Amino acid sequence: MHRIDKDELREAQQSTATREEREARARRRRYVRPLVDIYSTGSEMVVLADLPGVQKGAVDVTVERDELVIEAKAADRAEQESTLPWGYYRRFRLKTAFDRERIAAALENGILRVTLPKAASEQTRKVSVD
Amino acid sequence: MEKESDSSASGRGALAEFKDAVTNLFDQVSSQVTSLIPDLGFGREFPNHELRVEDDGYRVWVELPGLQREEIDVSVSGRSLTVSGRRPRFEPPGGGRMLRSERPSGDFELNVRLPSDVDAVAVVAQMRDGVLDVRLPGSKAARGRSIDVEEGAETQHDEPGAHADA
Repeated sequence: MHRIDKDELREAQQSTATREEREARARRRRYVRPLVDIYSTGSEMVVLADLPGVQKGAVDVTVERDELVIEAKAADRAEQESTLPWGYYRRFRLKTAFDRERIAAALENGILRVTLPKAASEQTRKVSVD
Repeated sequence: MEKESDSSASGRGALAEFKDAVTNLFDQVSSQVTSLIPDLGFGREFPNHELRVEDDGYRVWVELPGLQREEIDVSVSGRSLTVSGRRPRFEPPGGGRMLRSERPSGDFELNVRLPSDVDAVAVVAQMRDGVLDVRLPGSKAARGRSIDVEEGAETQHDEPGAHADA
């Protein structure tokens, strides 16, 4: 589920206007900003996002440079002109360094869990005193 | 309960959109988190729902991510559908520190007024992808109606989700 493709990277390197355009597009599609809980342990940070109506395979989690982007489409809602959100879009600036290769995401019963393992240099370490 | 989505064509008010845009600018996450704007679900009710008129009655969707069907009470009384339960507050596992807590928790009760009578005995509710899907056949349409076999429900097949009493 975690992917970084070349196009995304290129896009991320372009101006901020591109980002704004993407957000405007999301709003036009009646996407909303999902509510999240975020917690941190010594070794990882975890983002839990409420994405009701989203099926597995309809969510994209991307990490572009220092940004985590969550984008998801809720099944059938656009087609049925639903008054509920048609999808979800939100991005976060990551200030901590993470081990990008091990970022993982899982969707269950309408909740997305993104696990971001901290880079070794950021981990809390207990030093034993001799 | 009023629907929150009547205010604009996009389903949300311009103000909410503006707040989203502004908040997005400050969506910074770090271990030493700095949040300049309080994290609230601006103007959003919990749980969010939609009522739709269908050929043979009504359909109500209620967004309850993370909850199991058996954790939700569904009852029909007259022209009122009640969906209630409790969404537990999320606690981070051992030693974890919450940086942000926006997702709603606690007791909830949603009352939906139905435009006409339904056949309370025939009401069926199932959970899918964090959304409760309630089918309420109209009382007239329900008369002499054969029992449909649900298709596409992967797991929990429909125990009758509602009771005529309550």
